[in-house]
Amino acid sequence: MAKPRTYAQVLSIFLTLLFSQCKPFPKDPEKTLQTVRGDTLKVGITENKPWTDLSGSLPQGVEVQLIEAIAHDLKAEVQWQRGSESALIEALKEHEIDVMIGGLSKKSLWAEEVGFTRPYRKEAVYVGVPQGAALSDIKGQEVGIGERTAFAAYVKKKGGIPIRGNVLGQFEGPVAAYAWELQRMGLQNTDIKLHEEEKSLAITRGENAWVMYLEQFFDNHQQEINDWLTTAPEP
Amino acid sequence: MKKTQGFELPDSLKSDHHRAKKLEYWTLGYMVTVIVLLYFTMGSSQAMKTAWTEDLLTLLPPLGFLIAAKVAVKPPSKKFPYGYHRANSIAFLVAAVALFGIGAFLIYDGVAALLKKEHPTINSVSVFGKTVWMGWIMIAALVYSAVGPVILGIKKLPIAKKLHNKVLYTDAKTNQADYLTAGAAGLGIIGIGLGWWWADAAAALVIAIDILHDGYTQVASAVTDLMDRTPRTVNEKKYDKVVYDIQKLFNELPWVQSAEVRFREEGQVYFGEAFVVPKENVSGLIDQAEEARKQAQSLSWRIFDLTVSLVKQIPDEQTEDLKETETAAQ
Repeated sequence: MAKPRTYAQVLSIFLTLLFSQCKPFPKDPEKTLQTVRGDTLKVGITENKPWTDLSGSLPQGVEVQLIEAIAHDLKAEVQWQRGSESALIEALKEHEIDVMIGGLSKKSLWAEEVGFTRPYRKEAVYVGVPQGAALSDIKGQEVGIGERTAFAAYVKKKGGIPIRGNVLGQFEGPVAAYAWELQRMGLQNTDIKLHEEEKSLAITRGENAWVMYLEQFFDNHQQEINDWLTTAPEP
Repeated sequence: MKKTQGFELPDSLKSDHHRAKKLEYWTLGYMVTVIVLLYFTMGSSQAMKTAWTEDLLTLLPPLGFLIAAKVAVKPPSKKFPYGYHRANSIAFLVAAVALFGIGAFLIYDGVAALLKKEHPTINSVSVFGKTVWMGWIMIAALVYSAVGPVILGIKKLPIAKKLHNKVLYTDAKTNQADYLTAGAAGLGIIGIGLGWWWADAAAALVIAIDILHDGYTQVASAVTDLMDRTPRTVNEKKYDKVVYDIQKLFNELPWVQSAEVRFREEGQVYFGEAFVVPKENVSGLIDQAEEARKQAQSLSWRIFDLTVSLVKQIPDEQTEDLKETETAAQ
């Protein structure tokens, strides 16, 4: 009775060893995933609220929470490196940092320079109005955008007049914000879509085990990502 | 003005021609699905991009064949007294030049990717809650991209030989070799998976060199056809024996003292002249010559147009004979 079981055990150990040689598949040419695990996760961060927020002493924002969860999963310590987008891209190209965050999108200028993960979230910017009010078009209308310069461009493209530098929750009149932000502020979504974007993290090109790990993490933590939005900084 | 006859194929080959057209439509349809599929799976892989471009190029020969098939059968007119047979040769040349040019560009692209140490990023997709590496999906797409062409190529090859159609022949050959492209690109993807970033560009280069090589041979063949070289078999390896046979036929006629023939390819058929020096005091020369012409044309349907010219001596006799060993056995 013992003998076949021993054979099976030997065989299973052998097969496990064989597969562990091939794992992970795909592999990283620069071994990012391997070196980060149990060690240090070097993160480049550039400000882009609500995804990243550097106004406090510690980085905050949806993507900061995402990175912290990833670091926890990898039992790694996060080392933040602040910088401008182009400086961080250069660092990423030379693999000085492992990942870069800042509300980035695959369709950015950097698509040829660095690699991007599959989007962890699809976003759309809408126009919101106070409950009960109605709006079908923003042509010639003043629209509050808070402090987000990019949103000014989206409003202008649709013929609206962007009003900058206000706290959105207190702005009287239509405002531009992400759908979940409108909901949080108790505003009514007019379904006027100003912009669509997909949020990705940037990585060194060709680090395929690393990108696969990150994407798997997104797939398994969609619920948490949604939850983090509720604690994101106010627009 | 003398005009040549209309349709170039004998009735016995019409069904083959029809079948070839059908296969080419199938090829076009299948390749369009392949091109769409590879486009959406290629990601940032250089090898996938190169394989995709090659698949795009494989649309040219079927298109050339189908367009030529429409044009080549048009009856000769006052303006085009030799008919439209060369439409085939022109289609062949255009496709060959495109192949050569794009092959050269893809080699440049592949070398540049190697020199820049381009590390291709291959993402994953979520399939029913499982995270699947796109590399596997690319490989599946590559397998699909090879299966159809290989089968179609095998079906087209014998028909191309029968029809003596070089566009179709080249097309069939390229299709048959498609598994090599898919295989090379697949190895490139697996290489990426193993962490060898250069595998992708290297695979792309192999495919590009293959495209360039095909382009070169086809340009050479198309140009020599248009330069009125003596007809060669459809695989370009040997001279067509029928030319030699006709030469022999004329020389063995009892009323002929000596004869020399020359032929050129016009698409899938041959045009040519026989210069015949008759023996002295032969009666009914015109009837004899007419009879000989009919006999020669009955040797093969490819002898489409033959002019028998009775001369006192053979003009500008060619100094060297085509080597008989180089001539194909029928």
